[in-house]
Amino acid sequence: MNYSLFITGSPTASRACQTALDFAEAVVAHEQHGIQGIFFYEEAVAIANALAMPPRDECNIRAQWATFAKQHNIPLYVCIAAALRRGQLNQAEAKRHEVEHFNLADGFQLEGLGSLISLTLESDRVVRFN
Amino acid sequence: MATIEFDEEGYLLDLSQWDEALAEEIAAKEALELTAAHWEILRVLRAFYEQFEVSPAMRPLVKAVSKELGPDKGKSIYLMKLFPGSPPKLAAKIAGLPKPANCL
Amino acid sequence: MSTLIYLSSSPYNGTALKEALDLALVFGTFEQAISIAITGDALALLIEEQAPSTRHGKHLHKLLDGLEFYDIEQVFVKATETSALPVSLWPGITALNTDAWLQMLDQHQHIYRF
Repeated sequence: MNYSLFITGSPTASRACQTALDFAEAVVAHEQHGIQGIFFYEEAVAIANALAMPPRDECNIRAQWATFAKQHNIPLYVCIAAALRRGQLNQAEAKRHEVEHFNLADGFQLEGLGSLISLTLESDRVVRFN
Repeated sequence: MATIEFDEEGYLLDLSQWDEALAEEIAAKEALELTAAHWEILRVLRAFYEQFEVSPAMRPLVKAVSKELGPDKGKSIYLMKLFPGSPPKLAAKIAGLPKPANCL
Repeated sequence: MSTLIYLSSSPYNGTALKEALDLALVFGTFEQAISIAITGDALALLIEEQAPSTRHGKHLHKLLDGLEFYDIEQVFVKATETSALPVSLWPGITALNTDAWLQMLDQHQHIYRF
C-alpha cells in the first residue's frame, strides 16, 4: 500500500507531527508498504522553522523528520501559502517579499497545494494527523 | 496623493489605489497597450474578485469569461493572446488584484 | 475516483475553513472531481446575509457562489442538522438523510477533514 501523510496539527500544540513520524516509521518497516510524500498544512507548517530550539534533552521533531526523510528519500512538502501566512519563509520568498530573514529548515521544501493534489492521486491512502 | 507601491513582481500593494489610469500604467510596464478587448476581460476579472473575493486561476477565469462574454472569448488561447505568458497572473496584476494562488 | 473536503470547523474561529476552501479550489483548478461536505460548526458558513469585517477574516460565504467556476457542484449537508436551523442558508446545498450521508462518504476515495 502506498501512503501519503497529510499533517495539519502544530508541532507544539499537538502531537500530530510526532505521531505521524511513528506511523511513517512503521510504514517503511514493511516491505509491501511505502510512503509517497509528506505534506504539512495549517499549523503543521511550523515544523520547518529552523529557529525553533527545543531543549536539548527533548525530542527535536524537526530534525527527526529531516533525518527520516533523507534516509528514505521521501519529500517533505510544506504548503507555501500556509507557510508564508505564518512567517515560514525560504530565501527566495524572503527576497520576493522584501524581508531580511528566512527560516525554512534544510530538508523541507515550500510547495503549492498542487503537490498535495499529486500526492492524493499517486497514493492509495492519505492519512491525516491533526 | 499617496505613493503607489508595488511588490517585487509588480502587484499593487494597496488594492484600493487602483483605477483605470493606473491599469494603463501597469500594462505599459508590461509592454502591453490596453485595447477594448483587454478591458472587457479586466472587467470580468474585477467583477469575479468583487463577487467571490478570490483571484481566479486559468480554468475558472476561462469559465467566467465564457459566461460573461460568450464561448468564443472563453478560451485559454484567446486569453493568451491578450495577456501573454500567464493570463490569470498578468491580468490580475493589471486589474489591481492579488496574485492568483496556485496558478497553473 | 473523487475527493471530499469535509468541513466541521467554525468559519470565524481560525483559518481552517479558508485553508480548506483553498484546497478545494486547487482540486477544481487541476480538474479533479471534488465535493464538499459541511457539518457542525462549519454550517455557519452557509448562513445568508453575513457581513464579516476584514478582521473577522475573508468573506468565505461569497466564495460559495463561485464554486461552480471550479466545477465544484456538490455541497452536501445533513438534513437533520439544516432542518433544525432557524435561518436561511445558501441555496446550493444538497441535504442528505443519514443513510445517504454515509453512502456519500463511502463514495469518496479520499476525505480531507478541516
